[in-house]
Amino acid sequence: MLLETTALTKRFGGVVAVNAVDLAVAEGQIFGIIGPNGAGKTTLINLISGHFRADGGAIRFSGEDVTRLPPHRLARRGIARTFQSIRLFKGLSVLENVRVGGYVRGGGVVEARAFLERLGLARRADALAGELSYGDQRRLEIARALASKPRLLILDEPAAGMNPTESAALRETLRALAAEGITIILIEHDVRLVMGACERVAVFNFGRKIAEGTPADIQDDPVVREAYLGNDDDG
Amino acid sequence: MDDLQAFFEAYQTTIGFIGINAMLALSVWLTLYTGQLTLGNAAFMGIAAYSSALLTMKSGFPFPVALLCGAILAAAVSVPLGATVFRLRGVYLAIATLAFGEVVRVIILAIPITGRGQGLVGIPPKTELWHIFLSLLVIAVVCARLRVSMVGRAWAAIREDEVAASSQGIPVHRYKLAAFVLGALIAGWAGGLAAHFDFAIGPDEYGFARAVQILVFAVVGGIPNVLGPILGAFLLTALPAALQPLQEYRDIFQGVILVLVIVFLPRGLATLLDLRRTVRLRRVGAEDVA
Repeated sequence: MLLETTALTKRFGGVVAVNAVDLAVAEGQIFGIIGPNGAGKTTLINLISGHFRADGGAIRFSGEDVTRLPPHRLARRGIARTFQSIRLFKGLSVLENVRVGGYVRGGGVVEARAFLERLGLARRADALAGELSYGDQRRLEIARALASKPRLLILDEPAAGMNPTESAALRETLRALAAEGITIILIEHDVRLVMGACERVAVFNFGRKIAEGTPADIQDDPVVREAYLGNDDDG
Repeated sequence: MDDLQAFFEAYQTTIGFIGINAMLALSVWLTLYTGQLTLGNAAFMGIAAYSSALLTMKSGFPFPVALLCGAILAAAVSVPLGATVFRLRGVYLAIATLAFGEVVRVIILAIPITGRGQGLVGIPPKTELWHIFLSLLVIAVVCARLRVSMVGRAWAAIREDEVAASSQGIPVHRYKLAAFVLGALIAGWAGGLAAHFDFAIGPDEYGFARAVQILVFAVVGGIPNVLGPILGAFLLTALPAALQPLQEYRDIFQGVILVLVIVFLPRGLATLLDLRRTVRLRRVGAEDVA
């Protein structure tokens, strides 16, 4: 297992945002995490990427305990992420954003341009990050994360604000990255993207993992239907 | 003829202080470029001014060695200070560094060897203009090179978004501290040069007014590049001298010029060099100074 959490717990005051979560993500997998708003998905990601400190439990990455490491150390070990609320360096150019992304690998300008090319942003290299459209900003976040050459890429709602065509293109990009050996954790509300891209899916509600399995298992799980899909109109 | 000579002497001093003030402006530029508002550089200047002056006056140290010792002492003090105060952000950081400046002033007043309230008089005038401007050149080139290096990109990333910077592997705390300590070193060097340019120094030269003045040089000049602080220091040091003929109206004119710069070039004089980018930055709401 590339990433393993055991009994991972985070409390905010009286609220248990992440409650004794066990998670195991295999190398090369695209692992989906779904759940209603407030289910604790983003808190879980903040724990794994080191932005929050766990109140209990442990995180192992590549066999080593990384529970208490700060974000920059985790980045060095190969964990990269994007943010649900886009956090680009908006006063820097698109190219500069990706070059900062390459910080831990000493990435040069040629490499940075290759990542932009890959995400379809090459023509906007000299624009300021803040000048990009919403979808382009999401793609730039992915390009910046990739520039650190991560082993684990965590995407927090990367398709938010994308149209169906863009979302389909994103799915192809994710598959290609997985084929290159990058493990991906995908948090997403776009059920079609999750079901189409992921090999395994975990479902969260009220800070707990309530189900896990293949996309087909999850769609048939009555607990999941009640907690999450049941809220949809297709029930 | 006496008038002319007097004017020339005053002019020499002004030229020297343009260079010294430009170094001080660059010292605070480093932290401003990283998005951190610190006001400790006047105190670092004072620490180095006093210690280097005491070394040349009382211990007979060679001038360059005394300068270096002063600057290193200022930088050494800045390490534990920075490690502590960078837990804070924004105005709290500014106030904490300002408080440090006040502590330094009080300590200077309390220690007999500093001459207390009278200050130090009779410092050997070892500083030549070329010392000042060679130092400024070296410091400006180093800062400009740092700005376009990976270090400069990391500083800019921290300014734009600390959380994102840390998740890209940048040790945020260490980079803030590096900018702060390098700033203290530069302010210290400038302080040593200033002390040996001036014959006499006093504790009030390194207080609140000086701290704010240094900040104003950098902000009026502009943070986007290293020319900004130099321009700001030049304008605000030369202006009072240039406006001398206006006599009692001088302060009014100086105030008007300052207000005009702030109203029409809120990101500083240096933004004139790249107005298009400045307009674009404003449109995306990105800040050059946090």
